[in-house]
Amino acid sequence: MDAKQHLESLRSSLNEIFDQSLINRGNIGSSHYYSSCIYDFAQNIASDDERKILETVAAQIESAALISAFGLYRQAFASLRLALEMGLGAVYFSIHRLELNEWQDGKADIKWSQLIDDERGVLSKRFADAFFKGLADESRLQKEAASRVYRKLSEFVHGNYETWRPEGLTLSYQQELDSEYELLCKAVFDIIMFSLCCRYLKSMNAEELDTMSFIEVELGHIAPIREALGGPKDL
Amino acid sequence: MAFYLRTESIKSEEIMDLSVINASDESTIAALISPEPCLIEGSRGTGKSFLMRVAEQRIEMHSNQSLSVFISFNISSLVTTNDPLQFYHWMLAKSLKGLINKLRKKGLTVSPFAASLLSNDEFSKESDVEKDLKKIVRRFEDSYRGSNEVEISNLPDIEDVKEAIEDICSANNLSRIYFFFDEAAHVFRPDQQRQFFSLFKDLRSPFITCNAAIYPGVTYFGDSFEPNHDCTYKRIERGIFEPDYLQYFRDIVNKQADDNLKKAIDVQESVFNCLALSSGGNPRILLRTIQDLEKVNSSSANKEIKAFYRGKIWAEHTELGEKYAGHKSIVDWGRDFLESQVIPAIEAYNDSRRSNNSEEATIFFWIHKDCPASVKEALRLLTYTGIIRKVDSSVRATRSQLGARYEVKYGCVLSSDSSPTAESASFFSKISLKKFPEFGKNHPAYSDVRDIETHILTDQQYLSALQSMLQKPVDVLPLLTEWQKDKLKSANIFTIEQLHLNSEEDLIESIYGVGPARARTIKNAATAELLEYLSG
Repeated sequence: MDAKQHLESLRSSLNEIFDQSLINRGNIGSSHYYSSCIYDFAQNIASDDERKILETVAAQIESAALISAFGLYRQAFASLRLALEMGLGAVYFSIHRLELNEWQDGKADIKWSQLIDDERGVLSKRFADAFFKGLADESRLQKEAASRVYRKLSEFVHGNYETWRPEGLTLSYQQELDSEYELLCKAVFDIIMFSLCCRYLKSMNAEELDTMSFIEVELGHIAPIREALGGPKDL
Repeated sequence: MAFYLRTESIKSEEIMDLSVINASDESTIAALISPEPCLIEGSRGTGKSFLMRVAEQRIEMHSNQSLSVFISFNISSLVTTNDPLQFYHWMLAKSLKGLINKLRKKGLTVSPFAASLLSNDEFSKESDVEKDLKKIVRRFEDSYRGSNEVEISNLPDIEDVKEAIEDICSANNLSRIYFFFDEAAHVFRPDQQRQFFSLFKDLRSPFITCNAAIYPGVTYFGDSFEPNHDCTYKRIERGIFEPDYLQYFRDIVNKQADDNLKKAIDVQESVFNCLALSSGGNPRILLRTIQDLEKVNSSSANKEIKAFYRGKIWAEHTELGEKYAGHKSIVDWGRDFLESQVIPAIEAYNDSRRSNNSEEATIFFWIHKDCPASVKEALRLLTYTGIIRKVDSSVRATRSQLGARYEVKYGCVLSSDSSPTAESASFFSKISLKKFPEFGKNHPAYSDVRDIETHILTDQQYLSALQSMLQKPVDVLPLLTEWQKDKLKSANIFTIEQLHLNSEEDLIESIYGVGPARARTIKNAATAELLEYLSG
């Protein structure tokens, strides 16, 4: 078998996995939906900088959807992790312009520890109190979820021993990892969308809010967000 | 421990785990799932939204051929308009946007962004379905948003919308789309409610089913909609005399309770039963009173029953009067009538039976069919919060006179006892539907209400209520700082209306120190107040 035949054989395996993913996946549209929601939210943000970062986040989720369907789970998890970092990064940079410029100049990186820092992070009480009073309690829960999800995604990026089991090295459809991808993709979306709402919702007018019916569908269970959209108050 | 007191606070994936469904609920859910349109009526907190959520999930779990779209008319961007059609178009646009979102979520359409992202040539191929719907939505939005005059005759009509929905069904092998309208009539003023029911009827098609939740007492259907003919009409009434009542409510609480609370309830079963009966069939009230207990024991429960059923329960009813200024006098009269006439009459009735060692008690009262219309109106409004419930409307009382029989919420009657938990079991066993104090057609208590003109929530009253709210000073806006209020006053902006009429640009221009961010914050404070008013 030459290299060309070898690659063709891999392509054939990928196609088989792809077909199986489409059959087995609960909802093949969810990743596209999450990506579209983030993109639509970004269109209501005035700053070009944050908007562009969020468009990249949406693109990362789209990429993750595609490569996970081909069974390239490790790469899909890496894309999700990048989406999570950049999604929270966009919110972080919206209030730290100096660091934004340094990052754009290639002089600084997005640091996860900074994003979820208790004092300066985007899921801190201080941040919620400043931009969306009433979300501090929920921010704490989201921060815990973000740490959990990030750790899980990092296991595949950094190569924790158990993620390198022999069966993980061959191309094959893996129900467990496929389901894990769906769960983690939703979790990444929930955390990003929450932090976007925390940062921007209060500064948006009724017309802008009206373009995003998905917020109520996805985050309406969080009382302060529901109330900000004109929904019924918690008792 | 904290319970979910509102369905809106429950994540959709948790709904089925928390559901407790009895035979009556099954019948309501079956009506919601059937192709026939359905209205479910129930007082606040009786579980209308929850049952609609269960029906929504069952529809999608059982078939790939149906889609359910949940619409909450919480946000009204139309404060007031001279054109009734604009509101109709606003509702249609909101419903279609909900549908577009659901189609995306289910993977039946892909947004143009997603489609173009990893492929160079997909942008032009934006899904026709989504494009068609978006086009219709955009034209509706232009008609009620834009300052430009839009020729109504050029707008898509309801048949275009139905056709677009039928196309979606054909393209995706869907047999039906269900719309669930929550809080349907609650947030609307009467003319808007009539528009809503007109839309509800107009959307009828072999591919569309509309369901909605409504409140008793404050819903206006309009002339074109006949609830008994145009839909299946279900009332949610969880009667305290039903044989499965206590177990049903125990199951509801157990679904959310932790182990400690479950154990405490097992030990204090009679206390739980007293609280469950007191709620008069209202899950939210039961959960709320249990949540507020210091401990699950008689002394805490007695304290809570007295505090809640003598005081807190009236808050929602009183708010109704505040929402509609023109309506306030009749709302307040209803409360006075119940507190100072009806409940004391029931107590006197029960006391006299008790002193005679009679095994009879009541929580019912009877009102003559020819009592003043304003009395009927006041009673109707009391059913909104569920403090009373109309049992039947043609019951013969003394001298064979005809009238309506009402049930007062059990807790409201029991709360006047010195120890409700000790009295409850014996009291409950004596209650008879056939025993009730009577209020004739000229009862002296009506004298105060005769002068109050029969109030219906007219547009005029709505506007006058809105006007009174707009005239309030900016000082009442809780979202503004003192500095911002002072700055507004220095720019001759004293009332909410004056603030509402100034654009963000006006504020930036006329107030030193106010830039785009502050102008937005200040404007949002006024908008939040308007929204709160509209949402109730």
